[in-house]
Amino acid sequence: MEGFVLPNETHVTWTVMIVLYPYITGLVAGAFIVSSLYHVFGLEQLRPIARFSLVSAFAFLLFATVPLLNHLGSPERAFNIMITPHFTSAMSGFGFVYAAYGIIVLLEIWFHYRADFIARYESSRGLVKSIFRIILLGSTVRTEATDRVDHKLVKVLAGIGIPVACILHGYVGFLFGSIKANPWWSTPLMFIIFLFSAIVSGVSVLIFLYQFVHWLRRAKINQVTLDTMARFLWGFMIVAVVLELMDVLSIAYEQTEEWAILKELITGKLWYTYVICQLLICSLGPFVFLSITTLIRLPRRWSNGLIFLSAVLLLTQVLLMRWNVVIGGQLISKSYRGFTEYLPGVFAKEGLIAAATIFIIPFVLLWAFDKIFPFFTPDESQEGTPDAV
Amino acid sequence: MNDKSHVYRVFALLVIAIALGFIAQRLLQPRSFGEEGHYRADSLADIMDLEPVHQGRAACAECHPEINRIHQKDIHWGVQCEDCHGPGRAHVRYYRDGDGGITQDQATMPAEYTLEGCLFCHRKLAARPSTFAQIDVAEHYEFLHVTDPTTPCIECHSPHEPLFLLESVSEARVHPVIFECDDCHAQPVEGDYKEVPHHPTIFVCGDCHPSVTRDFAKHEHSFLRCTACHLYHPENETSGRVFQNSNREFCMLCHEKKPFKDPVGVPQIMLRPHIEQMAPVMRRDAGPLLEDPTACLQCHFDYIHDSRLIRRLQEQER
Repeated sequence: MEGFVLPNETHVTWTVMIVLYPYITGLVAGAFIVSSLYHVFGLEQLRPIARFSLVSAFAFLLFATVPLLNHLGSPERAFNIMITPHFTSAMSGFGFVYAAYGIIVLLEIWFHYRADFIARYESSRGLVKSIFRIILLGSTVRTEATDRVDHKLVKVLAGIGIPVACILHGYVGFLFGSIKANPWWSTPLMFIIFLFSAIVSGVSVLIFLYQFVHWLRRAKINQVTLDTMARFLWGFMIVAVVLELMDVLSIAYEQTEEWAILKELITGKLWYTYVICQLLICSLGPFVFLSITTLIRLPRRWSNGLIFLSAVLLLTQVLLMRWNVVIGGQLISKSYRGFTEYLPGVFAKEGLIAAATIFIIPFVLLWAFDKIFPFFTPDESQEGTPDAV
Repeated sequence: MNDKSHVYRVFALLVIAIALGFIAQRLLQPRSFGEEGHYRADSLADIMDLEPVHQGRAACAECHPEINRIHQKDIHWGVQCEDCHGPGRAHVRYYRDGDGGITQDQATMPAEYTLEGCLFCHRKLAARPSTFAQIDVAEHYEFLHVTDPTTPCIECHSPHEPLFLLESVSEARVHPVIFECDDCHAQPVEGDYKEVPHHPTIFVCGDCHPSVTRDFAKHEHSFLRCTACHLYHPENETSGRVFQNSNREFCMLCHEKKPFKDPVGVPQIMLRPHIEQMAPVMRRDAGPLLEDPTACLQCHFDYIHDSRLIRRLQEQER
């Protein structure tokens, strides 16, 4: 503890779980928006990653609230925000937005995978056949006309899903941005900053998984898809980082009374996690690497290596951003004259092991889903390329 | 089959699910919810019917009169037993009322005497009034030559009798406010405020007790502030109570030999063997000294003050 800290500020209430919550939610929104780029905007180059991104969004969505539930003292009361919602509480809307978004993604996956479900239904027997019949709601006929309807509905749902995804993640930013007593959080820009950083993390995790899975299987990458995602990542990361910097710069330029403590926070407590790691290493690094891969023709091996490195760094950047916002904001005393401290435990209920476990489970789910319905087919490496069209 | 039949089915299912959701929301809403405000009105009666889990100090005193006596006279008198030990309902029911539905395990009350437990109130914070007892653990342990940083406070301090006051708090002398440098200064201050130009004039001990402070400066304990032993406890903005602590247990807070203390540093002893060994040397009888709570001052008073000066002043006062 440093300086003037009030006695009720010695304990940091929102732990690493609350860091993880917007991080996973961000991956959801980002991954969904990538899938929509293909489904709604017809970006053929992203076709090979479209279904993977859609299912990824759903896998992360399923676990977005788990850190919150682990954080709560009485998680069994979580549904009260939907049973007796109090609309003066910012959190009360989250349950409804989350549920609506979950339904949209689930429906989109259902329509998207319907043909696969029918194929599996026809090729299986016994209990598995019955399960697929239930999943298909008894409608096991597939014709060209049903395919057309499914494709159309996927497009419509993806279209509706974009604003809902934006609201879902922007809302998480709003939860922080609307806390006017905290000078590090209270900014209307928080909504947009969180949204863009979500897209960055979503695209990064897709690039990371796409390259990692293909490397693991010694499979050929679809270069056009990867390059397109890298270009989008480059664009989105520029906007996200510039927004964050502009927010800090505007407070610094205004020299309002909170700047004195924020300056100390940035140059002191958050010097390594914010300035060195988040901005210099994990923002400037990927910006340079992605600028090179986008603007200069490099050997594929080099270019793909830089894209992979950028994706990993940007995943770390967004995690650091969540940490610096959530924890950083709580380190400041309400007196604006002191700082408290926080270090997460390793084995604690809300410690690092618990956080890592919650974060890894969606990846395990994706792996299991891939075993039943493979995301990437051998001929996918050629899809979307100008030669294949 | 209709090309859109599966669409109708899935959306029908969705509509049913949403309808069920709304019905469930209505059904799960507590019956009296919203009657008085955004809460369950019946909860007021439910809460009023709850039996208090806290029993109050009087219930504790029934079975623990001796602890209650020392607790009541010392500086923690305002701290309720259950603040540290937790609610006592199960404990009282089991031990006093013989409630068979409670196990001994449930009836055992925790003792929150861990380092963190004490620091909840006594951690040094700039936001706390400087007159409130508070420590920076590292500084405190360095000062006392404690080598093990995990040593719990109760190794030296008794939570029931933290200051070992010989007289009750209520009988302590009322004293005008005593200013401490850290009331205003965040960093430790050395020297006399009078040497600082334009410093506000404040009362210091030497203003009223000049001969005592001048003499104290010549003694071994002169590195301590007067209030290290003459503890001052504010009661309002202008006055408080000052405790003239002469209990040997208070001296032993610094001078007791403990395994977690560096033996080189503060002179350290084991009280009983020390009295037994030194009494014949000092031509004193060890028996009464062992019983005397002011035993340390019987021989060591002059390490603190000039005993003749203090005696003379006390006679003048009478």
